[in-house]
Amino acid sequence: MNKLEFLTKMRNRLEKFGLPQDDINDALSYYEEVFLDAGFGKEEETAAELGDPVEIADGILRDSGIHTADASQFPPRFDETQVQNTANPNGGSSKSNENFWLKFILLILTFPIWLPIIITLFALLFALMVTVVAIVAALIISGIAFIITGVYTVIDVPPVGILMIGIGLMITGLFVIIGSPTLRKIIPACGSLIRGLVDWIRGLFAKRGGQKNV
Amino acid sequence: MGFSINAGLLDAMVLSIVQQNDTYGYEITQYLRKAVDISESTLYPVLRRLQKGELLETYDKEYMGRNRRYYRLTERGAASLEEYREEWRSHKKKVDSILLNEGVENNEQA
Repeated sequence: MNKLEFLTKMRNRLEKFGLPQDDINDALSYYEEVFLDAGFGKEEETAAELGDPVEIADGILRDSGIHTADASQFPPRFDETQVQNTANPNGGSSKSNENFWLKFILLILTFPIWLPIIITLFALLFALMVTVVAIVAALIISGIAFIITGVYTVIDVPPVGILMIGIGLMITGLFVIIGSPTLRKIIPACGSLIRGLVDWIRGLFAKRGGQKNV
Repeated sequence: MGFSINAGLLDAMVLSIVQQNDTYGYEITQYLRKAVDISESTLYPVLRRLQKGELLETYDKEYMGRNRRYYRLTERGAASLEEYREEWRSHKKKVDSILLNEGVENNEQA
């Protein structure tokens, strides 16, 4: 993590829980100074030494009497923090609830953007499957058709009939050699591709849902 | 370090460092590190607390094209530091009397 990432994470956290802008600037300028005084090219090292920016931000928030939603996961550092926690027990949770609803509404409002993308993805996959099936079907049908017409033609014009039977056999052979193994592999592949896509989309939603705990 | 440093002691040490001469956050941490294992993130709340209690005041000074925040001891800070020092002396004496078996005859068993 470099200086910018570190300070951005801190700022986001402090802003999220509504620390006054003056206090945010004060804290950030202090930590920026730490980075600058530690020296050039030591940003990663300094960030590692400082620790988790979110936890530092939570500490600052705690000192200002602001209760963060997941502060209960960490043991309180001092007794006074416990007093502050009981002072406004639902201050943080209502905030995170608001945040969840905000995200939910945002999700609904942005559906003109993500819905077409998902539909397009599914349509593309479907088209791919249909194409493969059509090509294979065309191979079988044309092969059999050539053989049948060849059998009829062999009576009238033997050379042409034999030629047609030959072409038909070749095409059918091609299907047996290439087509059927490919088909056998492609259909499960398409299945897993669709399953993967569904899982991915579900994951996206799960992640959105999970953020309500933050 | 086997002994923990409490908030009061940390406040007192920071006041003492600033008393020697006006200095900035990073330097204070480096100084403190001679005695205790402390990070910049531990120091920040200490400085804020001392500032809010008007024991320290700040001013910005230009350094290599940027501003550096310097801390200066206030009168109130100097008075508080003297109190801390007095308290530390008596505390130290009591601890020494037990830990180092010093001045056993004066041991008040408080």
